[in-house]
Amino acid sequence: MLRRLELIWRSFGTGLFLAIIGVGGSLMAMTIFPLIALLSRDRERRRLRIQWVLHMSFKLYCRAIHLMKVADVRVVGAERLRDLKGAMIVANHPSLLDVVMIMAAVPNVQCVVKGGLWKNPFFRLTVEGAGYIRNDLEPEDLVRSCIEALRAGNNLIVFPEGTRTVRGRPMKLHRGFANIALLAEADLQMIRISVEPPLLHKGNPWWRVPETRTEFCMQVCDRLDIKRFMGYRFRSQSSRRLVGFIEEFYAENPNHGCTGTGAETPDRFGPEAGGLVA
Amino acid sequence: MTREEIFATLSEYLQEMFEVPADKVAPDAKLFEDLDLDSIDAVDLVVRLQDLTGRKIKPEQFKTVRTVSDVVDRVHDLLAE
Repeated sequence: MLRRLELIWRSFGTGLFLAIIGVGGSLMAMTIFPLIALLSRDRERRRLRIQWVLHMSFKLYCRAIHLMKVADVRVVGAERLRDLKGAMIVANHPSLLDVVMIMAAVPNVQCVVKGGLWKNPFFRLTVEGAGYIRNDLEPEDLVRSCIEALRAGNNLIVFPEGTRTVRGRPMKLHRGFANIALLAEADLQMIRISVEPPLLHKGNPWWRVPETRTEFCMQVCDRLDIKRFMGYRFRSQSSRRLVGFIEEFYAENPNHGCTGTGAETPDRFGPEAGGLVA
Repeated sequence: MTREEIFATLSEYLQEMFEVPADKVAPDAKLFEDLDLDSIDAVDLVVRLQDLTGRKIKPEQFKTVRTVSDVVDRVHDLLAE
C-alpha cells in the first residue's frame, strides 16, 4: 500500500514539476525578467542578471525535486565547474532535466535555443536578454555566434546528438559542435548524465514512473584540451578525430555515469592520455 | 582542366579532408548521405575549390549541389567562364 502511494506521489510529483517549468517559466518571463530588463539597460549586466536568476531558479528546482523525493538529483564533481570559463560543455541528453541540472551547476552558460521562442515577446525578452543563441540562424551565423559567445568567456552547452539520447543505442553525433570548439579553440568540459531507472525519456509519457525512485546523476568528467585535436592539416580531420573520441567516451558505460564517488571516479583519461587541463 | 582531372582532384580532396574511402567516391555519390559530409564540410570544400579555380564561388552556386558529379560540373562551368 505504502509502495503504491509512493508511486502515485512520484507520478504526481513528476507532473507537478513539469508544470512548474511551464507555468513558472511563463510567469517569470512576464514578471521578473521584464523587470530585470527594465532595471538594467546595460546589455552585459542584463545578461548576467537574467542568467543568475535562471541559475538560482534551476538550483532551487533541482533541490525541491530531491527534497520532495520525486527523484534523486545528484551532481558528482561540481567543484570542477567552479572556475569554468569559455568552455564548451558537452553532455549526453537522456532526459528533460539535463539542461536544468547543468544550468543549476554553472552560472554563466549560454545555449542554443529554439528560434520559435522569439515569436513570443516575453520569452524573447528572456532568451535574448540572457544572450542565448537561436537555432534557426543560417549555419554560418550560428557557428559565428557560438564562437563569439565562447571567446567572450561564456560556457556554451551543447548536446552533440542534437536530440535526446535513446537508450541502448550508440550515440550518433553531429560534427557542428566539434568545428565550433576547434574554431573557437575552446576546451571541452565533458559531462555524463545518467537517469536510472529512466524517467522523462523520449517516447515515454511522464506519468509512467518506474518502480523505484529515479536518480538523475550528473557526473562532471574531465576537461579536454582542444589543442590535443588541433594538429591536423584540415579542421575537417580534427573535427572527425574529436567526434570519434567523444563517441567512444560515451560508449563506455553509457548509462552508468554515477557508479563512482566524485573526483576519484575511475576515468579513462589517465595521465598517459596527456594534454588535459583539469 | 578536363572533367576527368577535376574529378580526380575532387576525389583526392574528399579522401584527404573528409576521410572518404576511395571506393566510395563515385560520380553519383551524394555528398551528404553517402559521403557523410555536413554543411560545415561543404563550406570548407568550397573554400578549397576556390583556391583550385582561383575564382570566388558564391554560396548560392553550390546550393543545388547534391552529388560528386554536380561539384565537377560547377567547377567545370566556373573554369569555362
